[in-house]
Amino acid sequence: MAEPLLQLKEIILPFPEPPPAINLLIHPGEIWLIDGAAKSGKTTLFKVLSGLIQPRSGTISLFNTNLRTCSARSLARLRQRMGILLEGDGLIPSWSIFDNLALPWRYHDLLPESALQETLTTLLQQFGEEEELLYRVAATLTIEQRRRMALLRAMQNNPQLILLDNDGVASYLDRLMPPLLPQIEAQALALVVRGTPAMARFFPKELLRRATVHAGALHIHALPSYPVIQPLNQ
Amino acid sequence: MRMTAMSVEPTTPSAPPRPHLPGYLSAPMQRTAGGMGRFSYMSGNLVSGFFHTSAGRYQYLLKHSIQQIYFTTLQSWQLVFFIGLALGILMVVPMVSLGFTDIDMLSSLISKVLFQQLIPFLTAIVAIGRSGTAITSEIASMQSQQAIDMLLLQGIDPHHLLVQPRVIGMILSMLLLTTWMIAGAILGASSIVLMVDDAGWLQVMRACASMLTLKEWGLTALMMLWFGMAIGTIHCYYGFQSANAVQTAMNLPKAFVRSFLSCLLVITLFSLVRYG
Repeated sequence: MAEPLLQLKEIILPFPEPPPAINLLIHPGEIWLIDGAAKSGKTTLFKVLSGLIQPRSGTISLFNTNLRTCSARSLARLRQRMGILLEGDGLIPSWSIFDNLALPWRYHDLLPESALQETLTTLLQQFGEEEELLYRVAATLTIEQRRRMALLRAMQNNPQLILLDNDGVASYLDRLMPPLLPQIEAQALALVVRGTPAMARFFPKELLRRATVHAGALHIHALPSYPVIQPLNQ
Repeated sequence: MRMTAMSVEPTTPSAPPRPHLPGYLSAPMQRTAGGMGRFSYMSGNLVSGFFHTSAGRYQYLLKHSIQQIYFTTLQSWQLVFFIGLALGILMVVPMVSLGFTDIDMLSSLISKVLFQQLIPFLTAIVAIGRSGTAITSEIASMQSQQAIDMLLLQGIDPHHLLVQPRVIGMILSMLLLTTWMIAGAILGASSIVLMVDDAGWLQVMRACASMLTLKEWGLTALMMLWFGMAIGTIHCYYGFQSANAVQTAMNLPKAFVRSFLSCLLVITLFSLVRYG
């Protein structure tokens, strides 16, 4: 099996009452669906996974690099291999979508100005979005449109690991999965999604892993985790 | 298709460190110490940001500084000029009505009271009320949408992207607005003097200008630099401390009061240096 993209070893989430330690391995080609009740620690877990907050204790390895010991620069480079959608859309409200999406490329001098237009247009077309949205100011879009644009931003660096910490993606998964599935099947990508058990229908059974967060502890479901539906009259 | 060539090392912070405070401090003292720690971290980070070079970063710095100057200076020039004009008139009318019509004496009074004390302070109040509160609300709305977290995740220091240009813009705007308000005050004062004296416009203006020595201009410019830094930094800081609408509503008046008091403190210190 390929090296894990993300490894949590004896992680204790920063809860007031220390919960049991979490161990988790995320390999390329896997889709993780993480559910849990409100305030159970899902967002805290995603923030720990993305390195936004530190756990109480334990080790996180991202792309085989220990996040506790790596420098800020290394962490930034590692994060460029990840696509992240937070609970909020994370767009700067007074900027256009174009400026929002182009920000990391412009700021770090990663892409020339002449290539931005074509790259972003291609990205929007790939996920069936209208090009016109690029030039709208983020604050003028609907919540749904903003979420979709934020989701595109998570995809824009062609990441190897995507973390989607937003319940709202459920309504967008039917459009999101077709372009991503070939990459996941080719073991070039892993997807970690926060959601409800009902969202499992969007993902191929053989790739899906499920876990539930409860009071800061992570319970990984045994595979396969689907109820067997008995045909009627048998 | 891989869309980018990730060859450039970004200069990236992780989230600002939370200070570990000793347990024997009471809760309000811990809050104050924590707040001071975060404010100091932000201020230090702003200075260090000038040494991180990247063409893209400087483009954002330039663009947003100009935007801040446009918003603070150009969109309020009429208001500032009108305040200056009214101050000039209000200053001179009582003096003239009491029979003090000597141009040199009036110019000296205008220079000491208006140019060195009232005008810089009123300019600061206009900038706090107009631009300072806008800065706090804008950063607070980004905070509530997790745009600040997203910047960190993209390897972008929010202090460098959002605070630096606002502070630079505020400093330059304060200098421009003060000069503009002084021009309004000279015009207002001159208009009244001309009604009771046959002195020409040029004579009145020259008398006022002669009171503003290079040292006076230098001290006023230095004071405006402090004002700009204080207003920009304090309002940005309170924006970062607002994670939701309730906190924003609580932090806006706090930011107003703190920057107002800091400007008052600075102007008092400068007055002591000038006349003490």
